[in-house]
Amino acid sequence: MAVSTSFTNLKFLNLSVASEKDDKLRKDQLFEKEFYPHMDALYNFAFHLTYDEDDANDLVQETYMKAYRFANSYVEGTNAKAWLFKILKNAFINEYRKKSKQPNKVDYEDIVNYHDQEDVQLVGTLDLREEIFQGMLGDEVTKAINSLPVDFRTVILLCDIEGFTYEEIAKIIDIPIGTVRSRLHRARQMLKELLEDYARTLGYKENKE
Amino acid sequence: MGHDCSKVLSKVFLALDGEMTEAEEKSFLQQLQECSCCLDHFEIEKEFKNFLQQKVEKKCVKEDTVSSIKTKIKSLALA
Repeated sequence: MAVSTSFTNLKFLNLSVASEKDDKLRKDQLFEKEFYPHMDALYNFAFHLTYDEDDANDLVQETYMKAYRFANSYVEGTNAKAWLFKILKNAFINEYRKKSKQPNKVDYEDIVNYHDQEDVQLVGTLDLREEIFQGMLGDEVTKAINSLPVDFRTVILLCDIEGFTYEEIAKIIDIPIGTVRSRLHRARQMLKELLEDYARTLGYKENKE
Repeated sequence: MGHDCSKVLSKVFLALDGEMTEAEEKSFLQQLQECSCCLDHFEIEKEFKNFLQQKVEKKCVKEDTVSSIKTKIKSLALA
């Protein structure tokens, strides 16, 4: 087979029969077309997970190295962004668990499910239209998100900041969709409480009847 | 069937997060109009989501990082 025709054949042949050279070419194109365009989003996610520029840089770098190593397990034309986010999230969790040395992972889902019933009834008194919230700086809001336990921070970032669907989030963090929903719900509740506490230090008073 | 607030409220996030079909959304918005309390709750949650999206700064990766990653990937490809 002539080298010049091998490229067009790539589309018809499976990777299993593609030569090593074709494999490299495929990876090259994959990175240019499908992986590199998500670098900003990955960095943004990494930054808000770590709240540190150097750590975020390392995470993004590690993500692309891993993506290269596991490129063959990626199915072209599927959701590259979600695939990369999953790699980054796993790398972060591994690193995070190592650093924090938490032997007992608190099962937040237990708490979540326990509170779910009452949470539905708990109609938010927090009104973000108030001037005090509008005057808050992005940095202050980022800090509040950052002080959430990591599992909760992750769903807020993926849903509200990155705009992933519940189904994508479920795949990225390997939890059922129902858990995505309840975790998001709880995360938002926690974040509101944090922002409210913070606003109170700035002189905010609740309008409770 | 009357208006069931808790049923409506349990769907607020599905609507805000774009997890409803067009038909579901239409019927949900109709239900919202039936109760000012539910509507108010929906508006507050909507505002909260907007608030996060506006306040949380979008960070962009630095040129240095981009080129360093691309160089590393290239060297892996040549290896």
